[in-house]
Amino acid sequence: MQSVLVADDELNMRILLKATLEELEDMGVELLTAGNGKEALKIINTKRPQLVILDVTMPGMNGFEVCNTVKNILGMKNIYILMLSAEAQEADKQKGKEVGADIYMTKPFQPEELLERVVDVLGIEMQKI
Amino acid sequence: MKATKMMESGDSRHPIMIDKDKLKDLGESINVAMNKSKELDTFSVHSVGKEEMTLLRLKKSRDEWVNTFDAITDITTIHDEEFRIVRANKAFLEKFNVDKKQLNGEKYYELFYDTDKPGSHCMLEKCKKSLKPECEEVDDPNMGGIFLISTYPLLDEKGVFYGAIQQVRDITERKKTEEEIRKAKEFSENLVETAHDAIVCIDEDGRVIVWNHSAEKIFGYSRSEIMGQPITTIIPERYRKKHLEGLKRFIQTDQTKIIGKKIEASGKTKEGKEIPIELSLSFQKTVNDRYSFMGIIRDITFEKEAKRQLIEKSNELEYYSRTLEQKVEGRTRELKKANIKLKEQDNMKTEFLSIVSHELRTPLALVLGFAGIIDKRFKDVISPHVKTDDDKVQRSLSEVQQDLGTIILEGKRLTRLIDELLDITKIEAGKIEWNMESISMDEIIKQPIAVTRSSFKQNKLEMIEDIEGALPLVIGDKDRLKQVVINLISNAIKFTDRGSVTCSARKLENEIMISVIDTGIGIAETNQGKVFEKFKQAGDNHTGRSNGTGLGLSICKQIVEHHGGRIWVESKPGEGSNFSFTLPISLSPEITRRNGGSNGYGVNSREISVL
Repeated sequence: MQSVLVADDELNMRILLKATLEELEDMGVELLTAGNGKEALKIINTKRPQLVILDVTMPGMNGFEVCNTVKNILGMKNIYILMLSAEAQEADKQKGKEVGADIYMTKPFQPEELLERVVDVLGIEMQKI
Repeated sequence: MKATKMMESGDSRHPIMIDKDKLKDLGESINVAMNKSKELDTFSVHSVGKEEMTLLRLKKSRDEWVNTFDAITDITTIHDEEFRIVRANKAFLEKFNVDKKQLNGEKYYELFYDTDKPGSHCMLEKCKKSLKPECEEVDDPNMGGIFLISTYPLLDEKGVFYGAIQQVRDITERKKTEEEIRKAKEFSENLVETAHDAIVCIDEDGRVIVWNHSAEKIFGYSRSEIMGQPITTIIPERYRKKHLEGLKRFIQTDQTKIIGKKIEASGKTKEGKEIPIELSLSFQKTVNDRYSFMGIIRDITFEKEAKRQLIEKSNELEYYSRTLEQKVEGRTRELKKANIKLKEQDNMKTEFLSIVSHELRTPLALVLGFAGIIDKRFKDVISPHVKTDDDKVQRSLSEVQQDLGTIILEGKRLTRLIDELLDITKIEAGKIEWNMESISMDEIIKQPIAVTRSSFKQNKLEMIEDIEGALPLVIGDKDRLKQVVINLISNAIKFTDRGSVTCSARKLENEIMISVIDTGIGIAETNQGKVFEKFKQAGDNHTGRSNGTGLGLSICKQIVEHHGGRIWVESKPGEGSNFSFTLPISLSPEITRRNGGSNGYGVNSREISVL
């Protein structure tokens, strides 16, 4: 079963992201959530989601560290990491690239665009967008 | 004498015992006589009698006298009591180019002055009267020169005048030399006298022998007072000993430390005042082998004072300069500090804005996100299920959807505003990293046109592309330049209700001009200059088209100017606007074109970045 992890310390953001991606559940994709970096890492380790939507600014372990651990330390290169950050500066995007993120999107985001991108990564045939 | 004795000894038969040289005192005349007596085979003293001896002596004396007379370089004549020329020497004959025979007992005045009486200044006449030698200098144009005429009376045993000897010496040259010397002396005396510097000469004993007018003026002693006085009179007491020692040493050893040099010393005036002087010393030897010394003295009181003042002023100046330097240094330090502070503040401003931007983004993302979700659910789920004919409900549904649209639109505007605010702050603070590369016009025009195509359709506007062929490359940041073109096209669409938007690019002399021309509402002339200012929107007041941030054109201006270009607007209200900007043509088009900036980002998605 395919799964997507949404990691964000802000509850409302997790709700919004779940709402944005809710159509995926109809297609059998499990939507997982994590409220911080460590939790995210734990879920990644156990559930091995195909895609992680990762916030940058999180308490404890931030998004860059999680990404670096997954991609470089644990070597899970096949997990697609989509950084979704309010940090919109060039340097932040550069940092994302350095730690191995596959795509960097900034908040606010266009819900349709995000959904489109996720669907694209999962390789799902969408009936309606 | 020896010969004479032998001759008188009576040893008559003896041939001559002495060699001819010994007889030289008898003169050449004896030789002549000897030659004449060649008939005598043997020549003996005895053969020459006493009378003949006397004759020979007489002859010799006479010859001697004649020779001497002729050898005298002065014109010499012997006159009788009537002043006839009895005899004249060789100098006379040569001078007047006459023959001895021509004289013929002529009186001199007949000969030279063609008169029958002696002239009023006749020296012979004078001499005849005074019976004493007479001597006079005569400037005689007749004879062509100046002559010293000496006349000596010839008196017999009784003291009666029977003639005179006259000597005439041509002293023209001597006179000329004397005159020259006199003039030279006068000249040098004048020179000494009129010299601005004091000229003082002393003899070996240190006594003043020359003292000119300037010396009088400088030292206060008149010439009569100082002449013959020791030079130490004008030397301050404490230097006198040294002076005397130096003088003594020089005279004894010819060694000196100061002669030929210019030295500074002290002098003492008659009033007892000490004055600084500059002294040049020279010496010379007089005819009697004694030294004399010449000093050229200049009173340098004024110069000294001027120099002192100059040094004082210079010191003052140096002091002020140093003070100024210190002040400048201090000020520079302050400015540097202020500058650092300013930079810090600037950094803080940028930092602050980036934090604010970040902090604003999260709630904004939620507002926009949920508005989008609601809108979608409303359209997809709620709206199809609300089946009512109630106008009020229908109107409400429609209004809710409109309002949601407004929320989304404004939310997006707020996002843009945040982005642009951050952008301009960073550009102004020089914090933007420019990714300069060689780029073509197609890249910065075609893509913006493609991106905005849907807006053209939506607004039913015609899109006209007018790009000149074969445009040269320019150097620039591709993404930033695209941002400029998108901004201009978006503005044109926004302010144009019908007609077209033309996007053109053409080559000027050294630059490329890109223009975005619309057929929209235009901008009043008074506002045209303001549109590039921050938060100024020319169209706001009367159109209510408030979907802009007021930063777009300001950012465009910053970007264009960073590339060395210009941006301006030409517009007529009601007819449309023409926004143009230029980019300098790349001087090195061969620059390798990099394939996409490493940190480039998608055209319409500032929020997306494929890594």
